[in-house]
Amino acid sequence: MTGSQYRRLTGKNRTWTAFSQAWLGDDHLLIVNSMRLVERYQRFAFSDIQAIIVSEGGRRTFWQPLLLLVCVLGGVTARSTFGRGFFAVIGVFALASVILDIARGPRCSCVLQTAVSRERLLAVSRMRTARAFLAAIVPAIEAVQGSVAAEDLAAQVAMMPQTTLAASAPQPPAIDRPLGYTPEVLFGLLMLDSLLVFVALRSTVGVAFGLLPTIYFAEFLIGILALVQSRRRSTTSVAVLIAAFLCIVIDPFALSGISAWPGLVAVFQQASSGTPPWNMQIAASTTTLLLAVGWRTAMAITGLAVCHFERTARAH
Amino acid sequence: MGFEGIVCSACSQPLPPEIWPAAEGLHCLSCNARILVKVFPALTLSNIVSVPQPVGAEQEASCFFHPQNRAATPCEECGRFLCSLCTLEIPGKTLCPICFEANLRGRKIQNLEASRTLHDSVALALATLPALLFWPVLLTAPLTLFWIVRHWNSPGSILPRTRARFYLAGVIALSQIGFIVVLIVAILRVRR
Repeated sequence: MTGSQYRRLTGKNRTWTAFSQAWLGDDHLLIVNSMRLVERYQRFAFSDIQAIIVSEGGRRTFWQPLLLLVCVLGGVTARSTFGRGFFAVIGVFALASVILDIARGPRCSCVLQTAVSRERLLAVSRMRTARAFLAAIVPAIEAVQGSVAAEDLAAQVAMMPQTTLAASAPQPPAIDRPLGYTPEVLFGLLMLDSLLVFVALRSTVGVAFGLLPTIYFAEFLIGILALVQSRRRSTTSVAVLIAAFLCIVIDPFALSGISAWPGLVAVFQQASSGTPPWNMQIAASTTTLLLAVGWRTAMAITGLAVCHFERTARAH
Repeated sequence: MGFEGIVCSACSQPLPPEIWPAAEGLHCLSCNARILVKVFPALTLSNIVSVPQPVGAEQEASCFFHPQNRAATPCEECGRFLCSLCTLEIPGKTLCPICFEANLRGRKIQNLEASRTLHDSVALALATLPALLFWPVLLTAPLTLFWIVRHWNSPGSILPRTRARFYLAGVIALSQIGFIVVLIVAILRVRR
């Protein structure tokens, strides 16, 4: 093992392809951002650190409960042993990750401030980690800078000229980030979906029906993505997005799928039990399918129009 | 950049000095998130940049890079006289910009390195990932062994780390080569 001057302060806060970790050096804090094959280092001298701020909250677990919900729904509707087993295994993993997330305690965001920078410490992502991190690093910093009570520092800062305080400091111009195209993709997909159903009804090409489950799944995922990214959208856009997503969710159960959904499940079961038929047929009445075509077309046209007007308004 | 105060790490809104001394349980006035604030004396120090002094008399030593500035300290490697502008202090050493650059390029100062390649992880990835497609191992297995030999003594992570990945990559690469040899021999026997 290589001799090292560093002592580990936090565990690895992992992402899919990388991780971040904090280490304590002789006279500095070392932040390691590893991309598996390359490590990048950031060093903060103890004498330069002005403050450490930890805020509780932040990104919550979203995908695991969603996956759990999908697994429960899939497990309930699946009739084959393989289908139930598949959803059970995935569901157990999702449940374990939810439990693990709760057990690790509340999340937090930690910022380290120096005279010239504010650095978000990704390695400190839980309140429990933050307390252990502070317990280790504060004595090291105070050994270099000396220990002054927070009250005294607050009093000294309060006496500093007000012109240098943040409230009056000139703020950088706001960055105008362009809007994404996820809602347009969603509404375009709704239009495509309705077109496919219409083609299937008016012709003998059954492949159009076969594409529907895939497109429905894509609508569901893109709908979630569009809602997650909708913070900078106008209220009208968000309202149309929510309405479209609700229709997508409700569709197989109420709007058009009372008769279509059992047929769809039967098709899936047929596919899992043997060679899936290329030309799937969904056992739904023409009225039901026309209802599905109708709401999708209406929602797609409304959504695309709202998105167009929103972009035009922003451009002006 | 002047003093800009302390801001909440969740909403980036300023936290007034009056609430810093509060113990755990403090809430941000803007986003109401529970926050922990720890401030240090460096907060009250102004960012004073040392100003070089001009040369006063003819006999006074001047900076090698700025003849008009009075020398403040010599470089510990090349001995050039330096003014306060040219003095670069790193832990345990005072260097001129040229020696600093040379040290940086030669990776002689560990405390200045901003990144390092983890050659053991590269070797392990080279030994394992191509094996998923099987045929690339004809090329990558020998390449893995070459990589291990080439980088056995190269500087790795500055953090504590064993050579376990190197050993594992070597074992996997040798196994792959052995398997390929056995496969080729088997194919040749079948053809005879």
